[in-house]
This record gives sequence, C-alpha cells and structure tokens, in this order.
Amino acid sequence: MGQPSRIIVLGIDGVPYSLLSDLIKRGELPRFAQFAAETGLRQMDSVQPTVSSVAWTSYVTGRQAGKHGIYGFIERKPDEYAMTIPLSTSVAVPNIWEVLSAAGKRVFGMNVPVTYPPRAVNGILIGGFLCPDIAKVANPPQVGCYLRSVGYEIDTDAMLARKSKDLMLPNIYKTVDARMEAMFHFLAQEKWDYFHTHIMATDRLNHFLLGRYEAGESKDVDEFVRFYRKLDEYLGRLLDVLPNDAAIVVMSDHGFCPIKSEVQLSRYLVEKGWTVPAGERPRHPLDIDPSRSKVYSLIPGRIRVNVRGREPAGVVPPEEFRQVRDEVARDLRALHGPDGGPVVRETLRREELYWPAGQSGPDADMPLDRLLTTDTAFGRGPDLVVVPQDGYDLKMGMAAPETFVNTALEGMHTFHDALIMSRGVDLPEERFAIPNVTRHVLQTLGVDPPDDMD
Amino acid sequence: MPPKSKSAGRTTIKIPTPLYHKLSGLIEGAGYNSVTDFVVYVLRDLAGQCDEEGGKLSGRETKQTRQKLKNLGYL
Repeated sequence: MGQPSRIIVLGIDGVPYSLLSDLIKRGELPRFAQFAAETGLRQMDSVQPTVSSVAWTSYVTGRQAGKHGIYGFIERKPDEYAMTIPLSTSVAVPNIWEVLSAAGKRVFGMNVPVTYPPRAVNGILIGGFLCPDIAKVANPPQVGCYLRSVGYEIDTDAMLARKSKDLMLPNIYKTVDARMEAMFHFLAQEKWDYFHTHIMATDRLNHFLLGRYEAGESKDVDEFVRFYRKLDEYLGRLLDVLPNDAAIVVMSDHGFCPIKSEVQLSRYLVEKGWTVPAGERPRHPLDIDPSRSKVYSLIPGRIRVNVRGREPAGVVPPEEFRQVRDEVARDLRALHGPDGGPVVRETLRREELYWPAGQSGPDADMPLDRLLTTDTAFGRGPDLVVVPQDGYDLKMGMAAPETFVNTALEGMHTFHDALIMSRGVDLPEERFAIPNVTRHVLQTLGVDPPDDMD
Repeated sequence: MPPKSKSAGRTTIKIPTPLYHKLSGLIEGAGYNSVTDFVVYVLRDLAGQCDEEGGKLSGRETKQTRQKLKNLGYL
C-alpha cells in the first residue's frame, strides 16, 4: 500500500503473543494467520505495573506512567488513607485523540480503558469499562442512544464469571457481538482519520478460563478456542471492509499466564511489621495506622513509603526514605510461595522505572526532593514496584487470613508477552514497549509527536 | 451564595419541623449531642461519597465500580 491517510487500531486486551502464535500454528485462526504472515506477528513489552489501565493510558498518551500519572485502577486519595478510582480526569497529558484533533484530524475511540469520562474531541469518544452508565459513556452524549439501541454493553459482567463459566460465556459473546456491530456501524457512517476500537472480553476470558485451557481440560479448551475463532471472524470482516488508504494496527497490552496463587502482599507487609492496620478489622485496603506504618501497598505490587511531609500522616523522616525502601525491597524479595520458589522476580525503584515529564530516561541519582515531589504525575507514583514471578498474582488483602489464596481467577497478566501486528505503520526494528507505538501512529498520519512523548 | 452566617464557620439552613422532631427521636441514645450534629455527620458522609474524582462518580457509582474492580481481581 502507499502512504496511508488514515489508521484503524484494534485493541485486543490481554491477548498473549504466545497464545495467539500457538492458536495460529494449530490452524485455529485462519484470518489472524493470514494477517500475521503478511505483516509479522511481534512480541512486545507491556508496562509496570502490568495492568490495563496503565498499559492503555501509556499507548493513548505515548508516554510511560511517570508522565501520564496512571499507575493502577486505584490510588490513595490526596489527603487521606482511603481509596479513589482514577478516571480520564487524572491523566496528566493529552491523549492521541486530542493530539490528532488539534491537528485537524477526525477521530473515533470506543471502550479503551481510562477514557471515561470521555474528553471532547473532533469526532466521537466512547469511554471504557469504568463508566457506570451508558447514558454518560459517550462524547457527544447522543451517541449513547445509538449504543443503547444495539444492546451495547460497557463491559462483560465479571460477577457472572465468578459464579460460573456457563453464565460468563453467553455474556461475553453478547458484549463482543454488540461491540463489533457498533464498530462496523461507526466505521461506515462516520468520517474518520483515526479509528480505535477496544475488545475487553479477551482479558475477561483469560482471567477466568486460561487455567483450564492451559491444563487441557477438553470441554473448556473447546469453549476457549471457540471464542478466539469468533475473534478471528471479526478480524476477517474488518480486513474485508478496510479502505485501501487505511493502515491497521492490531495490538494487545499484556500477556497472560495461569495463576499458581494470589498473593496478599499487604498481609505480608503486616506480618513483617512494615504496615500496621488501623484495627483488627480494617474497613478498606488502605485503612492503616499511619503513626505506626512505615509503608503501605496498592494493588498490584505498588509500595509507597509513609514519608513525613509527603503522606497525609507520614512518619518516616525523608532522610531515611532510601534505607526504608531498600529494607522493604529486601523483605519482599525474600518472600517464597507454597512450593518454596521465590514469589518476586525483582523490585524496581521509582527513579529506575518512571521519570518526570521532560526527562527522557531513568535517573538513578535523582535528588531526594525531586524523588519525593508530590504535585506531579511522577509524584503520584509508587516508590517501589514489585514484579512477581509468573504465576504469583499480587493483590492487597491486608486482613486476609492467608498470604497465599486461590479464587475463581485463573489467569494473571505478564509483562513480556503483549503482541502487535501492523500494516502501514512502520514500527521500530528493535524490541519495544507499548508506550513507544504511539509516535509511529502519529507520524504515519503526518502529525508531529509531542516533545516529551517516549 | 450561602445564607448569612450567624457565627464564623457555621451557616443556618432550615428543615421542616416534623422532620426535626423525627430526627430528635431517631438520635436518642445514639451519642449525638444534637440534631445539628447528626445532620452534619450525615451530610458530610454524603458529600464525601459524591466527591470521588471531582463528582464524576456518585457515591452509588463508586460503590458499583469498586465491586466491578473487585470481581475482576483489580481491588
């Protein structure tokens, strides 16, 4: 194809490179196979922490979390030890739809995580699964009327999945069918230069069925693969109607692996004396006694030191910050699972992983006052990120009876196994991570990436 | 614009007298010093629930969203 004048992005949340490769090899996915043979199926790194809110915000802003400020699905409230849910209002920089709108491009986005409430763009933006009500999901709002008419669901119902797979699967199909109907409708009816649709159901399926698929339980394997075949059909339909001048990128945001055990990390920190709950029965995951807690954790594997002057009632003197953090990291790396193996692959310090806007790489010698800054996207980040071994899914669970538990969840996210395929967007030859994709999408459309984009 | 304050940091609002009497009965033995204290407690709680992300999620919506995140293992 010549130089594309527009781009479609199809996000398939949490589809692992290794799983898709395997299904292609087994002949289960003919359209993915054809597309992969033509474009090259590539493995891509995700982000830390490896969770969709961080990963997709990194894609839509083209920046790592230290610049956009989303580090997970929950955060501590600014002035108290209580939880808040970050929404698009917490994203500190413009997203790709805004950048393209400012350049005069017409845009469309549907269901990408952390896009609710949908910002005003030159086109249509439909928020992601944190939106509680279809009446509020779209900008402009009247789009919600159309969505309602086709039975659009903002997300699958995870409560059904917790109850039984037989309840989950019809719900997943219904959600994806309506999403795809909406996608083909907007694709045909709207004028667009950038068109981004997100499928969340793949992540949900992998969370609740991957373990049985990997274990080879035959009925479950069939049902698992049947859903991926459905996805294959939809990709085929999309490729069949793709305009000649349109590039297409198909990508996931992280991989998946079966869960050996969920790990109640806050409970472990309580055991080791680093965190002290507010009472015998904490009311929520951040219900700590700040006067006796040196650190606390947020899911997944995010550690904040309870530093005096930065935290609402911090007790650790700033000059002891690095020492406390190193000691906690040592304790975390010493955690072993029920099988005796290590739970933690590595612990990463804030300045190794994130860096402020305007800075282009890690700064191991970052001065303390800059490291402990509070009022920026970088300042909201964790002081330490715990990266687990595959199979150990990090939770909080301060009051959990056991550190290691198993629930209905069967699959957990992995960092190294996201995927990407592209026709018409030139990607780096060397290995790259999800925040690095965006600038290439913008450049394909002839739009200069913002200066601090990664 | 709030109504005129009778004292620094306090503002008078009016509620129906029957409701006032009903609340007086409700708080008997519950540890509140006055109906005013009880009303302030309830309203603070309600306002806190509506405060999530600058009012983008109401108290009920926040509860729903937290439950959703919990079901997914993200909370």
